[in-house]
Amino acid sequence: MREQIRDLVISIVTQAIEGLGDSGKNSLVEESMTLFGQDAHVDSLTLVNIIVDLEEVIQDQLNRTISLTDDEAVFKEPSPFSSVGLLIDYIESLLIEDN
Amino acid sequence: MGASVTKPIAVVTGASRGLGHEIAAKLALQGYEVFGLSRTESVHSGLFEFLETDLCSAESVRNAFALIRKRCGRINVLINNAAVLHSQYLMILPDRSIKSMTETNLEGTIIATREALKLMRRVELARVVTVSSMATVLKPEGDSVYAATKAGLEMFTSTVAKEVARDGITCNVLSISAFDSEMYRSLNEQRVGELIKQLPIPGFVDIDDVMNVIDFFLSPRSSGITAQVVRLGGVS
Repeated sequence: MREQIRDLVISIVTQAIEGLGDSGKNSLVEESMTLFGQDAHVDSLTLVNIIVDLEEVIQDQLNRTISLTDDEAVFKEPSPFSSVGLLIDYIESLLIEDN
Repeated sequence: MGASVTKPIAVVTGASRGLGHEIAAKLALQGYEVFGLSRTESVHSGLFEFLETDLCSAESVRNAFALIRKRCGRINVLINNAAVLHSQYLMILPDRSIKSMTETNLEGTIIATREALKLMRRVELARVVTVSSMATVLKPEGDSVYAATKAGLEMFTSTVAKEVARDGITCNVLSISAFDSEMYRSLNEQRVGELIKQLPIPGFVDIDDVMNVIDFFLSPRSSGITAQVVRLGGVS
């Protein structure tokens, strides 16, 4: 399942970064890419759009409803939004938990 | 009633009666596919589709917008109209009345807006209009909680406008002076009469006054108008 989630997350983050125009140019999306904090590759509003896009694509493609913005996600340490890899792990944990 | 792909999609909260019902009906006549959200179905809901929704329940609101997303994939217009008013001096205002006003007027509207905005991203014309009240300016005795919720909505709307401006979504407030509705008729007639008499334009506003402002906010030419409050009746 992780591979499938990884593909979805990489695809959404890539689209979001491409949408940033020149500032996102030549950014290769890898699991180590930071999404949140001082070294973030995206601004806060782009991260918001990534989160909403992911909730939608998981609903559409996996037919599962998850919330990436509940208290657990917001207060979790380290933040699931710190990096692409942690975001993939967090989504996987939500989907397994919900099974 | 099946949603047409080409029609703009409008959602109106509190659409079962009063102002919300009239706005929903007018938008439907203007060619919008309208979803009216409310706890009870309107007696005259033939012009638009009713979705039973309890704004006091986040889950109920989420379900309504999930259904709209499934059916239409997007929303163009959200009219935040739903509100309850319990007019009473604060020291004798029941807990239930306070909860009902804060949950419906403020919390419910915030959650509905959050869910709607998700469906407004990447939409060519996307507008949020929140209905407020003259109570935020006139501060009538007995309406402290109601006025507080409406003032909160004005602040909420103009602040969230900044968050979504980049997506081309505008968020504005229409503040109604007095609209002849069940809500107003439930108030002390003498008190309402005195309030209305104080207005620069003393009297009820009608649906055409309301739609005039809504049409202005929804116009494609108003894409640069956001975080604004328009007050009817000369209230200032």
